[in-house]
Amino acid sequence: MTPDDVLSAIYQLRTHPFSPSVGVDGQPLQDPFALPLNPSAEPRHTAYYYDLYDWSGSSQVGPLDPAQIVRRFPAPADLVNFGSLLTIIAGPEHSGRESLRNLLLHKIGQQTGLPLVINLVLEGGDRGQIVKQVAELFMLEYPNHFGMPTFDRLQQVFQTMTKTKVSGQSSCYANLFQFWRTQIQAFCNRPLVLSIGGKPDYNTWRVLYNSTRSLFSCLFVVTGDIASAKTCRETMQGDHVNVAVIVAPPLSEGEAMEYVRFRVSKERPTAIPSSIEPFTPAAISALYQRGPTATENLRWQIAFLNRTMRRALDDHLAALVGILKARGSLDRALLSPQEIEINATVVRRAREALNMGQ
Amino acid sequence: MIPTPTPDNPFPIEAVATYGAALRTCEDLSYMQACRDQLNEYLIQYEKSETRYGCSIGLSGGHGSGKTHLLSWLAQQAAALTVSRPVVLYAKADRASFFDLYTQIMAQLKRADLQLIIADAVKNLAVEEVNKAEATKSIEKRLQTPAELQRLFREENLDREALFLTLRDRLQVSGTPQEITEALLLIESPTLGEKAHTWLSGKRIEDREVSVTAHTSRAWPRQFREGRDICHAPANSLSQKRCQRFIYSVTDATSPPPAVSARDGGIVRPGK
Repeated sequence: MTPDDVLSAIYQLRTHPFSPSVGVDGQPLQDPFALPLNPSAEPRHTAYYYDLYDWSGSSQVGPLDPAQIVRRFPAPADLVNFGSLLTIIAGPEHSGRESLRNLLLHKIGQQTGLPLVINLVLEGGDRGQIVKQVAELFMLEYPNHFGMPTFDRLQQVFQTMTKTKVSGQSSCYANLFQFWRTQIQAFCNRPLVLSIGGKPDYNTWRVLYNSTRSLFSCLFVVTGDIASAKTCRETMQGDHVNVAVIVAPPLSEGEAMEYVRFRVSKERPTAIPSSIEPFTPAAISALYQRGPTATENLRWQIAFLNRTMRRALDDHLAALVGILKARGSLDRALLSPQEIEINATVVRRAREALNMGQ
Repeated sequence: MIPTPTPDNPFPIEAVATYGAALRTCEDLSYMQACRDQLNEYLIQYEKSETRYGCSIGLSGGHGSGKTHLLSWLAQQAAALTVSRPVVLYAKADRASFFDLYTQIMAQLKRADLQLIIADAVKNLAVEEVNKAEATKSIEKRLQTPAELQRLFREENLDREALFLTLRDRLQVSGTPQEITEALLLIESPTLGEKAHTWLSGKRIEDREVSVTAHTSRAWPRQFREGRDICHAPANSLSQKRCQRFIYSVTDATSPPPAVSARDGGIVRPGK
């Protein structure tokens, strides 16, 4: 008798809802919640998205449809006609922001082919230097995928165009990226994307966008600073550029309840009415009890809920295996309602173990 | 002929003492003990945020009356405290420029010291954060030292980015100028930390890229207003008021920094 047997026989669950080992196709799957979801690497990850996002700052992108596909995203022709799209995904760490970036990259891949992504982690410093850093990253990455123009040719243009130090307020070395665009047009059949993380600074995002938009059709910023994201959109909208802000918020108690219901129901046959079983409302409420320094109602990132519920269910299953073994049968009728449920105490204990790094 | 003082004579032969020089002193003098008691009481109160208070003590007296002598002795006393581990800073107000005082103080704060201060601040914010929920309250037991932070970040029990954003906001609310805040938060960076520390110390940043666009120092305040990044400026030329605000926030004092005498400015920043 294993925990998977208990999941199936007692709860009619195909797999662990917070640590699935079997995909929607019934084939083995590595835990999709161990890292941010990435459908480009594992197409079955699309089944694990949950639309917790606030799309109100994004007329160009979103929301997710019932199949967890992005309903609205600019067509390649729109990006040519209306200019590059800057998408800022803002929310705390582990709130699903990287997963959304990966889903949007997947969408671009479906529309126009696998994107060539240049990743930049901002630290600070002179904005002209940062733009040069992007140029250097591109110059090093591009020849790994295309033979023409060669690294030497790209570098020659880079050296010519960056000979004179510039200190523009809104853009730097924009001509370099325009020239490269012309150079690569005949050879590069993949969309170019710049993905920015690290230190939040909306002025730097704006300079990066203005400087590199002729080369990169899409720019993504992933940030924990929601206020900076919104300020960036406000300041750039005056320039009539394509900016979308999507917020990945932590979940309130009611939203957590809905999420748990969604996740558990996803792993049950569709004929069974949706519920949060084996979890109880009290188990979820236990996570939302305010502590001594709280000044407002609590909200938790989705990854926090996944980890806690995973641990609580794992501990509960281990206990049930012991009980059912002692009773000699894998029969739900042998269990009392209290034994079937995951209550507040189980969740608190799970949380304690996680808090202690166990 | 002046007789050479014997080892048990607390009074130095020099009429005016130099701060930090070797001391021949006597702890039995009641006024010195009163000052040490004052320092100890302040440090004990500092341990808890609810009892902590801003503290300035003025010492006044004529030349050679023992002000610097007392300060040097107090600095030794503070340095010997192994539990509260206060940081003693000394500056001499020889010029009218407050920036001169600021650079004297900052020159004594090594990058490692600032890193410790930042880590300590983040740790305190983490304690506040985990206590927002009953479900995470027990993490506080593991937050005895800043070194625990890295492990808690890795375990996803703490959100590093959110804590640094809160620290940024708190510094700004306390009146720390934006460029100082930015520089303090860069102190940990392996690539820009050294440069940020140099800038905070008020020294020129030796950077060829920067020197190409070097402007006169009078231009910097205007550049800061325009939101230029701090590391773009080769020298920190903060105004007096801004320096004062920064020092208040670093010392966590609500009253002005301790002006220990008319000519000496010493700050004892309690640490842990």
